[in-house]
Amino acid sequence: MVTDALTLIGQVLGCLGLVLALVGAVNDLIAAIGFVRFKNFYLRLHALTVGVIGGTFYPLIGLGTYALFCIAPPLGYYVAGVSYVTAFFVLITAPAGSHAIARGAHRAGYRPEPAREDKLAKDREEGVME
Amino acid sequence: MVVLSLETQMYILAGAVGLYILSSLIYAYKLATEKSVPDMVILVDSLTYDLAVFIVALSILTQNAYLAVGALPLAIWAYVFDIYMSKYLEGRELGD
Repeated sequence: MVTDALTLIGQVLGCLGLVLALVGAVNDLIAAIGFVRFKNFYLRLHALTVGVIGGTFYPLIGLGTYALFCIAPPLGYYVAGVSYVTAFFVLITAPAGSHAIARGAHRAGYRPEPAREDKLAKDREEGVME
Repeated sequence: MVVLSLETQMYILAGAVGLYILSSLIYAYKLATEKSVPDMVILVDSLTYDLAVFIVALSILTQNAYLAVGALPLAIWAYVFDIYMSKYLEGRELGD
């Protein structure tokens, strides 16, 4: 009885993981359309975030959960471990990477256009920041 | 008791893989037509992350555990590429 209930809970979690992977794939498609539709680099960074968090982090968590509960060990444990570790690293590194590339682009002279006011450039000209 | 049959699960996973392939094609098209370096960098990032998820999904579909291990170096590589390119855009080298 208890074993049946645990098996059912595992299967429900696995299927939820699968749905998460599918939703993530849709998010990634939306991000790809955003890359085409948005007009400049700084707007496309939003699409990148949708693609990374919605289209990579959540699907990896979903696929890991599916592998953990619905695939027989040791394959399931192996894929789940790799998925969770990769998702963790993506969550940690992607925001830092996109911030670094935005900073580099601004310093290289790529300005957000149209922009009402570029306070970062103004601060740099006035010597408020390096 | 089975919530979803194995066949349905594989169909859902295959559908997700198909959407990833479609997204990757859009990214690749945009990468081929793009001329700005920062845009190209974030497009390569997106393609790399897509490939990481694609590899994990493929390892489940093909029941091959060795495929999945490629996802982690890809995720790390995207970060290293970002940092290297941001330094390049600033006119500096890594470590400066």
